[in-house]
Amino acid sequence: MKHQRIQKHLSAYFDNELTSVLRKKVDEHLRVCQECTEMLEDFKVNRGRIAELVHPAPSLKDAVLAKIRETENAPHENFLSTLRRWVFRPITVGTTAFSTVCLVVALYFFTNTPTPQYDELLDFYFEVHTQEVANNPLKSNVATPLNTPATDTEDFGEGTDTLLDLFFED
Amino acid sequence: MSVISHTLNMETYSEIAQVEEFDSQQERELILRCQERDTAAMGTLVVQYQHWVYNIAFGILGHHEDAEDAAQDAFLSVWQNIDNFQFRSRFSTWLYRIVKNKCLNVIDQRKRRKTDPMEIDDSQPWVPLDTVTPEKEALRTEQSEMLHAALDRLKESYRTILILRELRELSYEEIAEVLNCTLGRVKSRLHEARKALRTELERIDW
Ligand SMILES: [Zn+2]
Repeated sequence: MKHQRIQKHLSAYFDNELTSVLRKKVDEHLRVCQECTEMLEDFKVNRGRIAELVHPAPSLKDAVLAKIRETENAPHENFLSTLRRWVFRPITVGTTAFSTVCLVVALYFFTNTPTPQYDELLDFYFEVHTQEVANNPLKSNVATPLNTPATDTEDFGEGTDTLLDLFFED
Repeated sequence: MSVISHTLNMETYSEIAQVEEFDSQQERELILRCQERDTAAMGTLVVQYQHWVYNIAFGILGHHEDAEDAAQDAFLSVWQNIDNFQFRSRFSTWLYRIVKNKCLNVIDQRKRRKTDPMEIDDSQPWVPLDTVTPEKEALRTEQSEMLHAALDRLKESYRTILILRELRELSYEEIAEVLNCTLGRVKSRLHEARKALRTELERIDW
């Protein structure tokens, strides 16, 4: 447990970034821990290896100044070319074409729709409504009355009389 | 009139000195001249910093042409954003942060290129050890090739922090400024990065 806790500070110990108290603790641990000692040694070796990766840099001044001139001299051209590139993108062109076709078709139907069609539609509706009302006795207020047919009443009456007769016989 | 301008200069000077005590007087003057759109001053700044800007980019990217492009882009970005530099941090760490971001852009572009089958990826920088071509082998020593291969297998954040510390030898405070994180984060990430590199290098028979 102590080994794990100490090992976490090994990197900062190596960089001399520890407080003196913590540094002392790591020093004490290193005297007894082979694993941490080896790790510290490897940190040292690998630092040397990475330090050797330094290469002579190419001269960047001319290229950078050329890029600066390029961007400073033609800001409008850059904006226009960006705009042009955006306008002529396939998706922009496609969407614009589709919207235009839709607009034209919509305008065609809007301007060519004859006004009397509304009347015809209303007429049709009334006809359907009238028929429906005529066929449905519950909605109708003209045709067949809601009363039960006379025959049924007679039958019912006869049946009732018979029952009453039977009742009074007793 | 002269008294007023003198007082003003003194105020500006003390203000700058208060917030920025890391950069030399000469460097501060160069930055102020750049803020006044003086390209000659920018040229001097490029010469002053190109070595480390290029080497940090190369350490992160592992590819000379990509590193040169990233370095040029970083300096262009410095020129375009120099007004945002208010001497609140070291100029170097502000610059290295830009370099790191440009390198991340390059890495993103590479990932996108890789996923596009129409694009032939001829700029693959971190060549696996078993597919090293003779020309490339001649360009690098065997050891640095191995180290590059090991670094490549690390997370980008580990590679970056190792380059900033071991190659550029930045302090923990400077690394925190470049990576925009806390000192504690620098400490723990650096330890993890060193352990990860150690593991990768142990796999290679030196
Ligand atoms: Zn230990």
